Amino acid sequence: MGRANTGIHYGASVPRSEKIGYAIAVVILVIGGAFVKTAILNWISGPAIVVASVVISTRLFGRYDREPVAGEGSDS
Amino acid sequence: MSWAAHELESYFLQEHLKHRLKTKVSYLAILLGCLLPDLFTKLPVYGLKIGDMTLIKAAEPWKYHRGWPGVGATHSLLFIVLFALVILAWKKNRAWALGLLLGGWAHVLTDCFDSVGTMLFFPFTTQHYSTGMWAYAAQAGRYGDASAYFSSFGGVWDFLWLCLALGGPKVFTRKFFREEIVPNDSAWAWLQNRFRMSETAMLALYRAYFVYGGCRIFGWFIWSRLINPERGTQTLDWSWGGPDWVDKAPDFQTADTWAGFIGQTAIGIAGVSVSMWLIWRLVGRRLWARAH
Repeated sequence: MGRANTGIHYGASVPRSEKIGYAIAVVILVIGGAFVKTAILNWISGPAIVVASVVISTRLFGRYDREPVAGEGSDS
Repeated sequence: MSWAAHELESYFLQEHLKHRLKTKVSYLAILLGCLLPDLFTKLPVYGLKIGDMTLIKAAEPWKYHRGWPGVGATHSLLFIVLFALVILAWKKNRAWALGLLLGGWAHVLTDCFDSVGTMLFFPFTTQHYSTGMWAYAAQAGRYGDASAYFSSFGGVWDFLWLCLALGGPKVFTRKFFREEIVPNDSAWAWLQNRFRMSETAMLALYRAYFVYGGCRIFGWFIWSRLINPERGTQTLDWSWGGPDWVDKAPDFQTADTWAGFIGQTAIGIAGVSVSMWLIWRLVGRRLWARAH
């Protein structure tokens, strides 16, 4: 999507490990937040959970990410 | 007050500023500006609870939070200008000063949608500006406020901001982060060097307030509609100014007549405009020229 365009791309290929990290963060924040409320859903720990989830999941699952194909570019 | 809009509006601004402004704007400064008016003023609104004791709780949260005397001045256009000017003088950074100004103004204007509103033109008038779309309910405590907000148009308002932010998906891409966000702000290089942050971690930090803001809407909505023990009486009420079941903050610092309202507004607009012009002529343009 939009790869031939010289403008900004939409970044179709977010690494799988990052997707897992964001998905985990969403589950923690929505489900955990509904039960634990302010302890999770505040402006410090909420974003910190997102960053921690992504960093940890890229460390754990980064090896399973697809290697970029030559000439494909990387806008994700 | 808004529960998630302030986190989400920074991404919407980012999407729409790129083509309209010729100068650099810092994303982190926009975000900080969007949070700024509530950052150091919110604690006494709900009070600090330690065990059974409630400390530093404002007796009338709506007056303390949005009124004068109180910290309502933080929700005015001129306060944001002065704060941005201090940052311009201190850091000599145009991108940060402009980002704080835009983010702060976005916060002040979006808070005009609840029933208490903000003193836009303070100190020239203490007139409050409000559309009264949903009831300001901080006086009901944190959970009472959450329940009222997500049972009324407040939750819809947040969802609208989520949709507006999602309307510009390119702001969330790595490419946008690399080409638009990082070059506009030396703070990212500082973060990278100081904390040895990887690009993935910095990108996650950039996206974090969007994920957090979006999840905050759904987390609190699920709590208020499915878990809240009072949900039987605290029903969903999508009427203008609702919900009806909450004890509303009384009208205060508002004109009784349309003539009074127009007069106060004229004084306010004139005062703020002249002040901003004088600030620019006497201090602002010199600080701007000195900054990078």
